[in-house]
Amino acid sequence: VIRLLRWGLPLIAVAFLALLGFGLTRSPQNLPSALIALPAPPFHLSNMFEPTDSISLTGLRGRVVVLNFWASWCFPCVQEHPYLMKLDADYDPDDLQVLGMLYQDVPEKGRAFVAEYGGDWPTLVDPGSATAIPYGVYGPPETFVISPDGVIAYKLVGPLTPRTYPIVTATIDSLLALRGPRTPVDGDLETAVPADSAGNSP
Amino acid sequence: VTGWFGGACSALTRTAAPLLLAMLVAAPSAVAQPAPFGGGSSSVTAADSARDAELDAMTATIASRLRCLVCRGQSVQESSAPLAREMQALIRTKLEEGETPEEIEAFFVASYGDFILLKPRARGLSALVYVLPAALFLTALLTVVFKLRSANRATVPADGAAVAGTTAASSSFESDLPAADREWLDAAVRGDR
Repeated sequence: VIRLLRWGLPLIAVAFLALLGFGLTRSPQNLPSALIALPAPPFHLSNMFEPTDSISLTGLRGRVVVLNFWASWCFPCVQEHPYLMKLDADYDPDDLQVLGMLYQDVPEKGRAFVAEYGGDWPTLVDPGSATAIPYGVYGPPETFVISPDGVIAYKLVGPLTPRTYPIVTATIDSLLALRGPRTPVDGDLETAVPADSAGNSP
Repeated sequence: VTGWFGGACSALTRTAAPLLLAMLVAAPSAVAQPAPFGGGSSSVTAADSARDAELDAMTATIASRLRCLVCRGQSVQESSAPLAREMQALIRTKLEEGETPEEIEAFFVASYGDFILLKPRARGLSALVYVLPAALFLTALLTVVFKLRSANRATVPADGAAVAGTTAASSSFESDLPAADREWLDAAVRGDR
């Protein structure tokens, strides 16, 4: 037993120090999301620009959704805004929906932000962070990439940057490749393929 | 009492008496009238406030088990950060909707992971938090016990084996001794001296 202890103790000490050392190499900001590969929490919220207009996640099925939690008081949100505009411009609206979620902010200030920096994708108002909390949001900006069937594929904590933007686009591209050509969803009359004369879809 | 004053008094008495009587009769009922309503209202208010106090206490208990995510080192209950306050409000709403404290805790863990729990669950890598101190304590205890026992064996030979061990261990030392000293030492070990 003494021999075991003689070798075991230094081994345990080395393993413990290695664990602490490994901890030092990790950023405390880098907190993994508990929601990856799980269904995205549903929401049905009003649009900041059109309060009478409400948008639900289920209504966006069939498209990749980039859900961006932001606020007008958040400086990194200003930095990442051009990347969101690029995403919105580079992808077909049938493939990708950029969706903002106003975090701990008032719609007036949100609208003023968009008037200053641009972007015409909808932003939803989230009273009491009732949607942000189920999404596990710590603070803006945080961006979720949600698959066409409503599963969270990726979460980015912090702003879109030259380093993180390609990760997001690679995730979107792989989700679109998995989805294949877009299939119409219920109520999506614009993109629905008309039935042939026999009443069968091609 | 005579004259116009007396007449006025008697007239007043005649009209006032029934009025006074009516007031006296009505007074208890007038006082009693609002009692059921007022009493009911206060009992409802008391029940409400008791329920409020119970919900507040449950909210505080749950919130004190959750980590404030934007102010490290504080619980959601202790923190005044906006996110912590919103979490408190959400806990309260969920309690009002009939969710149990376990369900609410599970909801927060599902959203934020085990990190949100101030007292980590004993599973996966988090189990080390509970296992490692106990393992280190046991190891240290065993080390001390075995060291003490071996030290005792070395200083107080208890049986022949220990003596033989000592003899064997000292054999290289003996080989360096002159022949006369070696004989004396062997005789001493045999017990001749």
